[in-house]
Amino acid sequence: MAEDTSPDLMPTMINVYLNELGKRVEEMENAINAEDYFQISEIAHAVKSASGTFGAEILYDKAKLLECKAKEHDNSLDEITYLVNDIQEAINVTRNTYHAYQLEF
Amino acid sequence: MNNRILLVEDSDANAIVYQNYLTPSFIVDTAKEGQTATYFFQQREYDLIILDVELPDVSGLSLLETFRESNPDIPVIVITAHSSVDIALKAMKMGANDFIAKPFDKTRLEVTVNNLLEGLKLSKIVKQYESGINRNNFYSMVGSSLAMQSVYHIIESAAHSNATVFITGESGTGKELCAEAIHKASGRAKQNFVALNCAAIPADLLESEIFGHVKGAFTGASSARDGAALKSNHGTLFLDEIGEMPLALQSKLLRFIQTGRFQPVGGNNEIETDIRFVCATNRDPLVEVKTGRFREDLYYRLNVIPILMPPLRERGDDVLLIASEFLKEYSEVENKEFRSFSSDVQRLLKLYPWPGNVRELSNAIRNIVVLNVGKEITNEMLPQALSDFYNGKLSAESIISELTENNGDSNHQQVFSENENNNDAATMFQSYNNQKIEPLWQAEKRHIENAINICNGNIPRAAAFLEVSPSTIYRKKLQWGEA
Repeated sequence: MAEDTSPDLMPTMINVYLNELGKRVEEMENAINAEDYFQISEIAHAVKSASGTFGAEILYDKAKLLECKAKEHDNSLDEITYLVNDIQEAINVTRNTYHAYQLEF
Repeated sequence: MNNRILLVEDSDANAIVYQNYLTPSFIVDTAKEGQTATYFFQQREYDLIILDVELPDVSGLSLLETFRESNPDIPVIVITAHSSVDIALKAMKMGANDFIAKPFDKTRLEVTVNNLLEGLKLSKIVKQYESGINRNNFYSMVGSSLAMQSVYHIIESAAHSNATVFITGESGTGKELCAEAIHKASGRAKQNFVALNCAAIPADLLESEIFGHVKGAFTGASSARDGAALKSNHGTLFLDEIGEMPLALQSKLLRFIQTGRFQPVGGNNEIETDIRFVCATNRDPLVEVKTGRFREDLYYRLNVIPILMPPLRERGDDVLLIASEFLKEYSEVENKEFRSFSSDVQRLLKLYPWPGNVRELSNAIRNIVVLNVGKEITNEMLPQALSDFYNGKLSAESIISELTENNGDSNHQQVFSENENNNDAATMFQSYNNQKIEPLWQAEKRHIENAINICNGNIPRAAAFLEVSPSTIYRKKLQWGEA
């Protein structure tokens, strides 16, 4: 990505990504509290999309799984909640990793 | 001046990356939701739109429809993290020019954008050129496409000469209208135009139809009769379906064309005439010569000014011009109020392959007008074949191949050899209706399906190995009639 854009732009772009992830964590919290499976799948789709662009492969895979499971209406709330918690942890790890990476530029 | 792109993407992270992929080569305006995108679209002129499917306030595909209604020509690239074939096919059906599955890199985006902009530029040049020529019709022929402008130009150039014209083309492309135009544009316009369909007349009566007969020439010839040759003296004689003429008669015709003299059937005296000859066939004349069904010397005598009538599917927007003329005509005749076609039907008319060409289009429009009421033609009114095509049940290739199998019609396409030193005329033209050679689309389909199988059904991976974009494969699957 640095080659496709510019190393100077990387800190800014990573910042936008990390901010977006933070926003998605909050949205996901609200959605799971409301038991809104549709909204959960939409948020997971958005996390998957941005993570794919930024090369966060583990988070991408987890978001893809959550999106899929949230769309299937025969999954229990517990299962979805587990996946949501898992992805929230993964988001935190990703944020920390990318924040450290950001400092290299 | 740089091209301006409208990027519709709700993810800030994706938007900033795509913006940086595109600048500074392009000016990029970014909208995060449909409402903002619509506002920008109305305020500014864009050269291209990149459109995410998932937006917070509206579906990207319904936004695509809105953009298309205002600007049918603007290139639109649909992007999404959904890589399903269904979404890709739906997007292409709704008018997207290309489809990119996320994540994608700068090269992928740049190549797609540049290709579409280049295509748009070429399309604008062609439109400018076509509008500069300013001819939507020529005598009874309707059409403004470049292909038809070329036909009009040949007719105008050849009209005042006496040189024989040989018109070829698929059935229903307007060969007789072309012959009439040649006559009307010539100095013989005030004289007779006599048309004879060699396929419609029994072979043993054809000679008499052309040359006439004297009384008692054969059983039933109770009086003398003038043939088409005498009736068209000083005018134009049009021999349609000349490929159906028996070989024995072809030699008499050759002499007639060469000398201008003929004897009626059963007669002794020669009659001298001054006739302009125009001939036509929907078969490939060189194939007929090779197979011995048509005399080579007659072919070269006739083929002084060749005119190839293009099939309707190769005439671009002419199909809409002609369809509108038919709609007006049949609505008047049938006392109906139809005035227009819906945008969906217009798109379909342009995509449908029309194996029967203008004749088939005429039948379809008449069918719709007779069986329906209303002011606008919509999808629900379409006859079965068009409806099946619209719903993806039939592909263009299957429609054309079914017609050639059922009718035995030589649906031919002429290909010019690049070898200018090749004096063998028979090798200059090749028919693609040779059943020993597999159609290219079938070979391509087999190769693509094989690649997908090797990649365990993963289309983007197969596309990467084939060195094409996934959207190319999705588009081909749509053409094959596979959802």
